[in-house]
Amino acid sequence: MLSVEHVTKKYGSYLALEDITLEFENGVYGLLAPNGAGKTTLLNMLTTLLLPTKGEILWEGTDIGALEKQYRNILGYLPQHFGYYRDNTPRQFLRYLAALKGMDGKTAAPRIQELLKLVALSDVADKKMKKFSGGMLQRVGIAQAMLNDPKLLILDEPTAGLDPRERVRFRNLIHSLSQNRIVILSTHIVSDIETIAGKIILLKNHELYCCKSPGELCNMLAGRVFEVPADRKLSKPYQLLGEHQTEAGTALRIVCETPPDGFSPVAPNLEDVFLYVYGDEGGE
Amino acid sequence: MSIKMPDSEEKKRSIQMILEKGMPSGECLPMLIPDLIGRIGIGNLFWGTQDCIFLALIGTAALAILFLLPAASYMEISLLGLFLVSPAFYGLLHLLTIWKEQQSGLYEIKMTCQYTLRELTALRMVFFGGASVLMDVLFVLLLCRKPQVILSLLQMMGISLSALFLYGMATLMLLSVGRKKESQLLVPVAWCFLCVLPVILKIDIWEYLSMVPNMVVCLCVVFTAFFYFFQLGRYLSINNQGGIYNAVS
Repeated sequence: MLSVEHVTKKYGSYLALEDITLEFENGVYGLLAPNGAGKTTLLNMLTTLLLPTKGEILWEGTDIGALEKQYRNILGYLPQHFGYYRDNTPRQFLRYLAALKGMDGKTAAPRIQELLKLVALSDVADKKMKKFSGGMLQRVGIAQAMLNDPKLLILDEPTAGLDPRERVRFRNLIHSLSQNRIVILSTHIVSDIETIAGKIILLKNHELYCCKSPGELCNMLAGRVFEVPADRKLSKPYQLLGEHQTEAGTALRIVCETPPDGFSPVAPNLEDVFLYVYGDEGGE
Repeated sequence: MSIKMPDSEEKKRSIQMILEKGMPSGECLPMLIPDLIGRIGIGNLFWGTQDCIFLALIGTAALAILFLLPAASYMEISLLGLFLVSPAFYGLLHLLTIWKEQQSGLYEIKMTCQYTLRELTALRMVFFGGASVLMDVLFVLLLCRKPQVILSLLQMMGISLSALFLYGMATLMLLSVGRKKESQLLVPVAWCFLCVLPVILKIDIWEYLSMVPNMVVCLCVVFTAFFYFFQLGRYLSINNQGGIYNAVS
């Protein structure tokens, strides 16, 4: 189990995160927040790349700073900006990182073969990565994060820049990897996690807003989300979530405490919750 | 108010942590370095740095031609050049590999591996140092051919090697405490300034150095080498947490 206990992070006088307390057990956790909310800062602290200003992060009750190599041995990390050696093939690159992760050649070779098959890159295992698409590179990234069969897998915006088809493939891959390990996936794209995350962590105003299942989050807006035609004038106060096209024309999706006349509530989804919680933030 | 006492598992973990932190490490540096190199592999140690090695060779050759081979009338420049050029290969390789690691985008991944970028940097420095020693021998032999040189071969070797170890020590100390990546430029800039200072102050440093006994020269090499490896051992033992600030930047 991974515990984050009253963690605060300041960069000089700038407060990035304040008093975050979380507990993680096996399963997929989605860290969902707009850009600049502190997702990467939190993940950097979980991966020992940053020190918390206050508080501590514990793995099985022991501070991760004290564990050092032991903690890194159970950690797999895919950063937001994933670098690679352009003239390397995936096999060469994974073999190199396997050595840095303390795996000997005999253990690494079959593991690399297995991972390349898992991420559907077996047929390009010996082609140079400079010819790869963004989706293929991200798959190499997930393969390197899985080399040491980590108990804790941290992925920072892994689907950024991927087309919809690659995003679906990535989601399915993460779902298949989530057995018997903690997967923490940060994103600002709701559809990336709404079907695979058991718990969603929302950060707002540099603090923890909530950590709930997608169902519990949607229940927050139960009975308060409505779809009304765009040309309809509403007398009661409401928060606009978005608009989309229907057969009858443009419809507005709104959150309203009291139902507009003649309209029944619709089932809220995770995107509604995201837009409702962060609707007043201009982004940083 | 009752305070919950730790259970037996928690007690065991705490005792284990205290022992690991409190007891001296069983492995000393001469055993630790070969062990790490054996586990990581020399090929993996220098993976992706071939271009840095090539550029460092070119840069060092250029400096050597500029400072060590001029005509006899520029003897003082040649001797200052020895002090400047001795750590050049080491310094250039170090800066270029750090820069490459930062540009490659693999920094964060490497800092979360079992063998981190800090360990790779420290081990690379051992090899850089070894290669630099060989280069320094070559530079000294080049200078010895000049009839105007007032220092003996041993004195020049002593100066060259002491300069190398001193530079390496300063680099390691800065790596241990430097919080910004630009801080790595402090040592080479300070070194160049140190080299031209005798010229600015019009001090004939070479005449003083020629009076230094050979034994003192040898001792100087031994001491600077000792403190270099001491600093290397300290650098290797730094806790990785806060990796972004404590690795190569």
